[in-house]
Amino acid sequence: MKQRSRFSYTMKALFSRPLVVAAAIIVLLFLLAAIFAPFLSPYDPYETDITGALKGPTAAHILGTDKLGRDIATRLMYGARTSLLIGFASVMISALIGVLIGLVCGFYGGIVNEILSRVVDALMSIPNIMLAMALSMMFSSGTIVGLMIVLGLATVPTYARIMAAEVMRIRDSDFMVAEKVLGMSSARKIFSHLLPNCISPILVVLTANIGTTILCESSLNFLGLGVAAPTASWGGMVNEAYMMMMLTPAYALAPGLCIMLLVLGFNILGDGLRDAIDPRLRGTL
Amino acid sequence: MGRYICKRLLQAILVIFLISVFSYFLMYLVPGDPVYAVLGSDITREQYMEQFYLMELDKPIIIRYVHWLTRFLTGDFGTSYRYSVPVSELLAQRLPITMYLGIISLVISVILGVLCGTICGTNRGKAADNILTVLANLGSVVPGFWLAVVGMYIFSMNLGWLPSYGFAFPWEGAGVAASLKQTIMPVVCLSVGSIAGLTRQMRSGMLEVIRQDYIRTARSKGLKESTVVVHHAMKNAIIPVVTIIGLSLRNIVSGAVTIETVFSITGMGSLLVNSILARDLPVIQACILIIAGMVAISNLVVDICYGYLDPRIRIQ
Amino acid sequence: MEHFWEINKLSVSYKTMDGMTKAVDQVSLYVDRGETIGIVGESGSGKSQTQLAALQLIPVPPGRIDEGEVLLSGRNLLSFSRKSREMREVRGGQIGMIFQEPMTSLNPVKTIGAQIMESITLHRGLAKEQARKEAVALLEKVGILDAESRLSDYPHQFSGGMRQRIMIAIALAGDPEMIIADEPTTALDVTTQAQILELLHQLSVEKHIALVLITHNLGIVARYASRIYVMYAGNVVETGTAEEIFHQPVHPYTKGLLKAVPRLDSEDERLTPIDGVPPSPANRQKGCQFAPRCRYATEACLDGGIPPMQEIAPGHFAACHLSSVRQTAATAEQEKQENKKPKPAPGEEAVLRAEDLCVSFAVRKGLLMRESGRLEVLRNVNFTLHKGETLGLVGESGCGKTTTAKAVLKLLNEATGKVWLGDQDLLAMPERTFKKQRRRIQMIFQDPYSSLDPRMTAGGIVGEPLFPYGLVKTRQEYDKRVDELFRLVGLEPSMRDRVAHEFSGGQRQRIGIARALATNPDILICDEPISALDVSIQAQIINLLEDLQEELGLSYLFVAHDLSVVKHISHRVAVMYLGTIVEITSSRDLYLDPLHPYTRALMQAVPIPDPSAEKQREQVILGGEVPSILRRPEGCPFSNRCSHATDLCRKEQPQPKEVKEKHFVACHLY
Repeated sequence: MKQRSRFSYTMKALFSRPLVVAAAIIVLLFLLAAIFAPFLSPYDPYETDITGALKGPTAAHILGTDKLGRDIATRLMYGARTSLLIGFASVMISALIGVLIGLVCGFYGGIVNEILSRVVDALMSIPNIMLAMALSMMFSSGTIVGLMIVLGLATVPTYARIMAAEVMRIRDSDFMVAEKVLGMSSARKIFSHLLPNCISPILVVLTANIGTTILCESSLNFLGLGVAAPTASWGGMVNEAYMMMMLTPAYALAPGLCIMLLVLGFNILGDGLRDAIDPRLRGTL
Repeated sequence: MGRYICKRLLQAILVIFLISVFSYFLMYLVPGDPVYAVLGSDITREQYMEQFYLMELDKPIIIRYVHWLTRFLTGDFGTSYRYSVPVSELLAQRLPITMYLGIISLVISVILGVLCGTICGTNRGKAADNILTVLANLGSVVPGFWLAVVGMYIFSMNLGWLPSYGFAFPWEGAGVAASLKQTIMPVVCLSVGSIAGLTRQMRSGMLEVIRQDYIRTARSKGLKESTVVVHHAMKNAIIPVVTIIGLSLRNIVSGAVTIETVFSITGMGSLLVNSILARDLPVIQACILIIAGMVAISNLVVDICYGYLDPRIRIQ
Repeated sequence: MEHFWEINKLSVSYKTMDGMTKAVDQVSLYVDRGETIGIVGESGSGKSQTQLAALQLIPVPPGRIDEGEVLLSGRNLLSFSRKSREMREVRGGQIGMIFQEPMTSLNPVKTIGAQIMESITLHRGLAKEQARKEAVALLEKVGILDAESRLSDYPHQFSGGMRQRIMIAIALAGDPEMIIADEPTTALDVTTQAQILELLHQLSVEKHIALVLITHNLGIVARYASRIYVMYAGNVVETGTAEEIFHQPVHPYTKGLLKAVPRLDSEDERLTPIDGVPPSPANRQKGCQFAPRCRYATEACLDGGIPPMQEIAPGHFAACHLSSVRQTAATAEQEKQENKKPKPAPGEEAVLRAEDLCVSFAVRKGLLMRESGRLEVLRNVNFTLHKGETLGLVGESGCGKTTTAKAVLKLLNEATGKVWLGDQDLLAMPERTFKKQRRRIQMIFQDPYSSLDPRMTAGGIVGEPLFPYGLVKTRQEYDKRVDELFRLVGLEPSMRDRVAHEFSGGQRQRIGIARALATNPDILICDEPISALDVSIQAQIINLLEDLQEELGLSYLFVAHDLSVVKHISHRVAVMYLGTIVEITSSRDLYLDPLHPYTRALMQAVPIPDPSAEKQREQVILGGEVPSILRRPEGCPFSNRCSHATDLCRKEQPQPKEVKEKHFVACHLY
């Protein structure tokens, strides 16, 4: 019961800032657009119409049409689907694996942790996008699921590292010593105390990482290493459009703005969540 | 300090070794027959077997890895499937361009990032802080490739001030002015993300430091606010910023992949993209190993600098 | 008469999420030249905020100075802006400051020389070379050896006490006329505390510097301050000369404070705690701030507005609605009710016995991390804890008292020797076997904040071991037992569903005690259980522990650094120094007849909250620093600080001897 009051306190602290509210609204709008795309737009995102290609904004097509005559606004909504799906799913995949690895390393520490740290160092030396590019060769890409796995695996090291640090901090705290003094089992220590206390910082990173992952996803799609052709993606749209910018600037500009807005939304939510959870900062912003 | 450096050095060597393991084994997990990848599928059985033995595919993967690593260490990076030239030759052309652009971007990012972050941190909540923080937030979310596209649209297509493609060093044929013009847009696009990241880090570092007890001590001595900031706060706040310079380099190289593609610059980034599209394994392996190795080494350098900057590590 | 430093009706507030909160409310005080005053109060009383605000050192925003004036030789400092030249000349130039935390108050990346010279060049306009000479002179003055060569060292190369000396040198660097010392010794050990206070005192006499001592420790101000201000919840509630405040206190808070603190020189009578919890600035009362905790409070106190200062005697003011006559009547009534029964005598049966307990860690060197030596934290510690007894373990930081506590709980793999729990050696048992017995020996932690899982409810924390140990069978039994435990430690069972952060420090400590009691243990290891609490709360917890002992027949191993507290609560006391027990005897005997030179020095360093008692005590300050086990001298560990040390002491470590009945000392003198 009181768990809820703590939650509501954090939420109150979170949404007391107008900026965070604005970010939440942005994310929500994109989410709604992605979910209800078929109802919001009368157009089919895949039906081509060469004769009506590359038209500027009109009343019928508020952002104009792309090089195959498809409505850009509609494609943007379906692009939001791609980005959000991949963003959420890959962050879930990486968080799940990363948290498990981090938990084991942090709890046992010592040599296990030392080895993991070096592996993580090595993986983190490879720029994210390059790791994702290399991985994309393995997981037969071109599908949304493939890209989810690729981006998910590429960010596992980040979570493992944060989780290991967090677990080690909590493992050495007095209340964990109290558990030992009470003679409680390892399972109880891990699942009743360690994990619940690690959730908050992971949640913060998770929120902000959805944004980062979407950024990476759009880069891959821009390079043509992401989802295959007819599927709408913002990065892919920029790639299709940038050579024809003199004709239809909105074609290339709009998807970029969408990426920025959505990523910004997640970043601000993440920052706001951190400030709301971290009691040292509470009330000072 | 000596012990600290030794420890970091050993760690860096281990990390680079692990990177080599990853880049080798990762590539061998790629589905498809490597023989066909080299010669194409239209080959005779004899040709296939010849290549099969040439690539030592009959031997265990550990042996192949050891041989590959030995050759790699002697500078033989293999032959590109796609271009049929030694990978080392390709890299000799491509690497300097990416390094040149990357280092310029890194220097600019560090200087501007520290400066902006300090301004924000010391003027918390005022106009300068608000404007810079908004810019930093935008800077860290704008996709580099899109920024490049927009820059190209405005400065090349509409205004015609800057060229939209290509790159040459200042000491090459086209001259300094032409090279500079070609450099501006890629460098700006590469640095924006890092400037934003460093600004945010420096800002929060400053905010953290400014509420420390020793800053109160400095103020209680009657020092001028500017002295407190420059001599007491910045010296402390910059230490954690140094540790993320390695990360910045990594992000800049990441950006190079897309930005080189947009501006048709023949650097490592565009080489990697083309090699992945063509499944040119030796090139991909070499690219990843070299880039990640550089990042690892820069992390080592940064760690040593960190140790030097922080007397608590320098003197034990 | 014009005072040197005068604060008039100063109010300071802070902006927080709950709106504006008043940290300092209409505070007035003054200091004359060369005078030493004390400002006493608990955390959140506004004692530091008043001084920081006067020098405009509080962060603005969220802080704000609402009203008032601050006069320095008649000049109102608040008329200058925060960053003005005038303000900067006052700070460091006319008024030097010393802060509580020597570990964090010096800039870690600048040499101490630079940090001292900075002030000298700024305020005295000396050239660099001269400033350097001056810095060396200052360091020598504050007692830093080898000053010349240490100028280029960094703060982390000094111990806490040394860093506080450097802070003093910095405060002196601008040649100030007044020094404000904000809890200057709170973070330090008691022998170091005595050295630092003595140094400050001597400097103030020698250079005729006014000294403002801000502290929560009544003993400190009794020894040094001529006048005292007692602050509570942002108000000054009483002020007067030290003698008046200590001998004829008027305000109920001052009285309560004096009775709540155990004194080294008093017989062990029960402490009288102040009820309730210190108020937070966010939640100020309409009337007298102290009214909710005051045993004499009437209607008028609760809504009659903040009581004005009334002159009781010349120079003695108090802010209380009640006349002292009515208070006295009520006090007599109260005291009659509180029976002063003596502590019950402990049993003869040994419940816990440490035999040659040693703890040492490997020192590793080089790249291969080869073991190059062992760091001995504990050296052959022997003691016996009887049933129903409290054994106090006292010593300064690094003496190994907490290590001892952890070792007997089998929390350290490095412990060797024997720890007998009844007739079983628990160090010899594998953890798997011992786990089932862990319930018999429980622990109370120092930090009430980090020792409770922030994500669990209080009821969940207290009841956690009940099911695993099979102490309850059903949900009903569980609820009943948790409620019972809550009542046992003086908490409302209705608070079961709150999470830890909704409780105050004292309440959290009660939850920690309830958790330890849940398994029906025989022994409680109390590791500094009150040192993180406010003075007025400490007495509540001490009394609770005493009551529980009587009720449940518990045995306590009570680890603390505060000799007065240990002496008060314990039947017997063991004094530790650098990993060995140097003296062990009954607490009464220890006070009346301390034998080991270290015990004597410790006794003398503990201040007594009574100015006249302080004047009669002999003042011998133990020199030297609390050494670390890294540099333990050969032979007797105390030999390098002991004035009686002989060659034998420096060669051979003394073994404990029973010098008098049940009075053991490890010293070659006996």
